[in-house]
Amino acid sequence: MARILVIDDEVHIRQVVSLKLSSAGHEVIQASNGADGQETALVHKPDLIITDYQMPRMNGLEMCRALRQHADIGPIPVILLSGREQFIAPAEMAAVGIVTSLGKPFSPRELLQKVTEVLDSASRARKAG
Amino acid sequence: MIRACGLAIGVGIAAGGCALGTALVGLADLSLWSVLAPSIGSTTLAAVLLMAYGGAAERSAAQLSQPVPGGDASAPGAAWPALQRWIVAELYSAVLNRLRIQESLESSLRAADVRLRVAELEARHSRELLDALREAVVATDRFGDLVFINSAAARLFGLDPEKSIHQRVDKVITDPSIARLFRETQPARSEAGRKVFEQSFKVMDRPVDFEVAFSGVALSESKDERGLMGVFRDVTREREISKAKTDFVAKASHELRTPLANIRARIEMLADGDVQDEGMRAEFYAVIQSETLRLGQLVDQMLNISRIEAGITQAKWEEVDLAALAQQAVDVVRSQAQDKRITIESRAGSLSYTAMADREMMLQVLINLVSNAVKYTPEGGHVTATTEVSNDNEAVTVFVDDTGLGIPPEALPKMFQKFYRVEQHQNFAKGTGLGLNLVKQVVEVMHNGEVGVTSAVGKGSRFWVTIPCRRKK
Repeated sequence: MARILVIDDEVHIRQVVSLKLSSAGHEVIQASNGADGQETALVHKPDLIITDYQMPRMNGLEMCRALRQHADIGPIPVILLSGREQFIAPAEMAAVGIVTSLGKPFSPRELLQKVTEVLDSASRARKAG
Repeated sequence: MIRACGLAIGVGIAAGGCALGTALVGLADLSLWSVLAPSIGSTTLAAVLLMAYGGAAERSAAQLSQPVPGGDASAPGAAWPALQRWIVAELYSAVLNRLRIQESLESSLRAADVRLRVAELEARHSRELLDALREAVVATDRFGDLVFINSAAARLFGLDPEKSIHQRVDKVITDPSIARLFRETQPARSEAGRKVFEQSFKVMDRPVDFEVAFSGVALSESKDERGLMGVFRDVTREREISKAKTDFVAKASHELRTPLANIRARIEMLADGDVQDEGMRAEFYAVIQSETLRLGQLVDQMLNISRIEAGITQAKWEEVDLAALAQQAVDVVRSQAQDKRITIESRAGSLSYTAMADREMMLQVLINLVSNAVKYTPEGGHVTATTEVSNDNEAVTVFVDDTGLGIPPEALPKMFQKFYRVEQHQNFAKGTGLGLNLVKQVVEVMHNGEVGVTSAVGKGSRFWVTIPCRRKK
């Protein structure tokens, strides 16, 4: 099972996502904005990050970009969970490590499925590497 | 009889000579004719001549077309009067012809004068029309020299029309991008159709978005004399409105998606049996309920603001006691305050606090203010609604004071904007970001009043609304 960091300024969204992921056996840690998310990621070194885009202090994209500067934690795959995912160019997302996205309103079932796919893919890549 | 005849001839010659002299002077002095003709007319002149020539001339006038004098040439002593008559008739004919030509010329001149005046009037009319345009119009000839600018263009580019005409366009319009636009468009456009550019220029040190339409124009009937006309339309305001609309849609959709996301995710998890714990299930239902209410509130507020902005909200005007209304708002919010152990009260003196207002709308305004005060005040704080009337009894003000979080100075000017929320407050309480904008719309647009806020971070805030007691006609 994986350690997953969930970053969203809406406490209800964090709660729902956390419940779904922990029910599936994952360890979940939370942060309420981009800046806190960056700090939490640096401390806990998660296997996967699920983040909102529009958040106070630092948005999701800025946080991902900032995390890429830290060579010590290596590239962490990111799932963008946001109502604005269609406004961000795929190339821009790929450049900061966002491997897939899901728009709000979202299905927790679909999110869990994406989480599983991304973790499997990362695991295969590690083994191949 | 002979003597009598001789006398008649003598008088006739004398009269003929006099008439000839007068006619010659008249013919030679055209300026005299030009003075006389319009004032007395050809018919009057003919009559004067006839009178001068006497009966002989009158008779000859009937034979104007006769090339040779008539009369009895064989009769002894009859040659002189006949010659006289012929001369007078010829002169008379010449004078009349001259008068006819003069009259025809004058008529043509008058017609030309009328046409000129009409053309001048049309030109002035066209000029006034072009000057009345809000768009700046600039026309150049094929060499790039200014041939026309309207008033808007003169104002926009700070030009003196008199001094600028026939100057090179890039000499008088100093912005290099505008001059370049004219230079590059000139050869291509003077023959072809209309071409529209959008460009931002600095005008009087201020960036202005322009839509510039260039088209070729005929400067005269000659095909070679084609110039270029540029019509500059300031679209800065349109762009701002368009951006504001886009921002509004983006913000509104974000605000709508958040509660929707919550509702959808929770319903799915409940349906999938992911929530086994009873307490957790109850919480899920409570969140779904509150988020549904939030969605409804959001949609209502958006619609209310939109209706007020569009001017389609009809106020129900009546005498409203603002102090009583403030008390009512406090009562509505009291349970919300009690949950946080916040003391809440309404204060007013014994004066009259009535104003012409829409009761429902003003109650919503006061509920929004009092509810906000409770939301952003930590447990154990105080919220007070105080109603006051101005010294001149012309306006009523309701102040809502709290001992809450306070608002940073940089956020104060934005407090009444749509969807604006103080960043530091976002995790403290939920809000749509529309409540205060609705307050502003209702008070300022519907009631012709004023809204305001003062605050100190960590100490509290004072929001106030003032509405006039009477409606202005």
